[in-house]
Amino acid sequence: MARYVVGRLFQAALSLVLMSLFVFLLAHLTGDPRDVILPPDASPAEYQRVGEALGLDRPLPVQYGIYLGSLLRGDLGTSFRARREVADVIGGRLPATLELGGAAFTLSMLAGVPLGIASAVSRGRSRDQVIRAVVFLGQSVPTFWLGIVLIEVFSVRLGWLPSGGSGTLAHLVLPAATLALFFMAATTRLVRSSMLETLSMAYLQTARAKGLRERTVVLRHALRNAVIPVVTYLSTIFVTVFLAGSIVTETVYSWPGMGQLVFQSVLTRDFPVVQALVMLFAAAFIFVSLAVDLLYVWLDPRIRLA
Amino acid sequence: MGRLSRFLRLAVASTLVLAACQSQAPAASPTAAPGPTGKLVVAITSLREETFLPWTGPLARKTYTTPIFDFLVHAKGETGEYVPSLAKSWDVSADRLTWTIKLRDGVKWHDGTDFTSADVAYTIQRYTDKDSLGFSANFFRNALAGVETPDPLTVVLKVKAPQPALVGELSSYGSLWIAPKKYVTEVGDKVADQKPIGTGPYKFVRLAPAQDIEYEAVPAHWRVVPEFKTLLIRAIPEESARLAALRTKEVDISVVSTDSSAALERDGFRIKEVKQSYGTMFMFGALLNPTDKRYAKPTDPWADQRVRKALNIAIDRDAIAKSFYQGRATPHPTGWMFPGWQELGPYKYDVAEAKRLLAEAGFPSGFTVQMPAYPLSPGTELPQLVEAVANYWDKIGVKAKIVPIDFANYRREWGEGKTAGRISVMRMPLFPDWGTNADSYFGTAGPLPSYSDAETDAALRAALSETDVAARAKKFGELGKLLRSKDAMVGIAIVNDTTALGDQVGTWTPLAGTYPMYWEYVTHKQPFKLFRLFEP
Repeated sequence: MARYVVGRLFQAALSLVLMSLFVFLLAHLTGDPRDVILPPDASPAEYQRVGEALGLDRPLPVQYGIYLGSLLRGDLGTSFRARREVADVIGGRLPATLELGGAAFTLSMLAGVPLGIASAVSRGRSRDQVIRAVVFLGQSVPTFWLGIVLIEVFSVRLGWLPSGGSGTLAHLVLPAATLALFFMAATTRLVRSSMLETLSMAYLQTARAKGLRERTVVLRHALRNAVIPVVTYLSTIFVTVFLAGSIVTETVYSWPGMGQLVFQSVLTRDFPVVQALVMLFAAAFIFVSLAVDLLYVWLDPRIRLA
Repeated sequence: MGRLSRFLRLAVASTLVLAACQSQAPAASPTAAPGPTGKLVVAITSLREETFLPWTGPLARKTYTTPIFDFLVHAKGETGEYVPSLAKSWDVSADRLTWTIKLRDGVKWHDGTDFTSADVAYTIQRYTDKDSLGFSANFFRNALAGVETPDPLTVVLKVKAPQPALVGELSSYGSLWIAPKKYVTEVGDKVADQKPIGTGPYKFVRLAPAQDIEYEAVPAHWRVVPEFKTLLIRAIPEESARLAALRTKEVDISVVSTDSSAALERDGFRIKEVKQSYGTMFMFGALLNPTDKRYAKPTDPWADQRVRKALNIAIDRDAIAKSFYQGRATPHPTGWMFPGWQELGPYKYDVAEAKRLLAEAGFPSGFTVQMPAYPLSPGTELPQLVEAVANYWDKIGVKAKIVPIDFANYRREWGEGKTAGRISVMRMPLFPDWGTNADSYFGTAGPLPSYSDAETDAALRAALSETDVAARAKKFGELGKLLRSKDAMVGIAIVNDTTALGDQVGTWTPLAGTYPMYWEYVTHKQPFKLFRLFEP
């Protein structure tokens, strides 16, 4: 196990170095930040001046070398736009992202898994049909539209919840529900599908024949095997959506998370911030994948790490 | 006795009357003047860079920086008249090369230290530094020969050549708000940018990234005592969310689009128009003086003035102003607010004549044009305006290929002369001086050149080199007329930005053009009539 973990960490380091080059080149392909920073009537001399100040006047390989060196020292650079350390900029948004992401992730799991189980065990019956209808709606409704409707109903008409912003639990309810709905629906479908496959397996017939209650058969014996593909899915969306943030949800609710930060940074060609965020998400993805692999071993002892 | 008795009766009666009046009047303490109270919440689209120093970012930050800072000169809200602010007075020497500015005495920074000429000199020096991102940094670098501070309340600006635009650039139209030298040099740019102090009517309290900025009123400010004790500027990017916040009274004032303004008015909200916020127009590609190396010989259809005229008269500007801009725009033939823009003759909407002109010019079946579409700030509606105009041109056979593009990318192509075959939408905000932008778009060496011929180039040069204020205005007015006579662009309208006010607030006088600000002048529904050095 230890050798496996060390090996994976070594691979992760290599992947991150390659990722740093990839994201550096990709960011620079979007154009010159000076086109965004400087006013339209900026002269060539101003372009030169600002280029020198931001280090953009050096050849690309030199810029990458400086960037990589800083990264290895833990220095994420200075934001072109905010004029302060990237770590500060990201640090200012991270708590809000974790708050919203954590809440939405928890909702997705807490609702999605039981609904998926309930739908699977009552296959074909009215309960299954109702759940599947909810799933269908959840995956069809555009997030943007859902957010606007929820604001109209719960904030404007009923006055129960604030229309946007953050700071209190009341502010969290609508954005978390909006973000969670689609993934709750997807989780429900995945759990249902996986449970249906598992419930038909022979070993469960043996368990029933031994006189175990149906609840024990489902929750203790079937679920553990059915949940493996769900863990993969949830780990993926945890990083790509809940950690990276959802630009749409954050924009509708004025939630100060990293989704908006990524979007604004790309639009304004704030390369240091874009590069740092992508590296952060990549690192998170790599480490979450490692954690999931280790979790598989616990879930299914038959799995051996190579 | 009778006379005394009458006097006494009169005295008693008067006393009783006075006592009765007093008992009905509210009890007043000797110091009854109210101070700032309550909270004003303003919703804008974004807190942008979230930086405050004048040299660290663009002009658009004024919406949230100007509660904290002051300018040397104040431009009055709807007239644009210049009045003294931090500068008590300014004199220009006979040769117009020396500006002597006397500063207001007794002004304090929010940390209690004195505002002096050293702060002005330091701000100008940082603003013109090589890494400054100040909007008018180029102007000041080119204009100034030196800055002197003979005493703490005097600043002397030496200019290389007469600069009639200087007072505008020093005013609240520009972006040179004054920063504190001692504080910035002690704590550094990074801290000063995150915890700014100024001389303005509001003090900075805190910033929540991407969310809001909180300010607190300075109770005895020298220019204006705000009526609201707390100012909160919130960033709400999505328009529907801003409207919801208005309706739930979570915000008191919000920037809104003209699309939403009609519905809001019907629902009882007041719509404050920021007059002459910007003009919209379409600029012809590759129509430069043929001697300019960046451009090939103009071969686009609009090299022929008949085509340019046809494109102009094919558009019903009245309909666009009424429907597209909800009546909050003035149709205009050029879209440029040169002096006398109100008197420029309109184009008569005439589709038949437009087709005839095209046929006469050799395009009986029309032609194809590429139209890049990008939102700008101000001007988020420009992509939809491109569609509207393309629809009009379609009726005369001019087929538009609309290309959504990021303006930052397109700007580079434009500057490199790669605009042949294109007609580009643009908006022009109201700036302190017409010169900078006129040179950018109509000067052959400008960064975003559009139309130029020998005559317009000569008129532009004459206007740019004119140093007398009145004569300069006249020459720019003449340039505007000349461009109109040559159908040099397709102007659409002069647009008023719209801001919605909830019924919790009273009056507000924004600054015409550029960006909404002057929140310190918002009153309560029943105004307190607190101190104001001048009406905004």
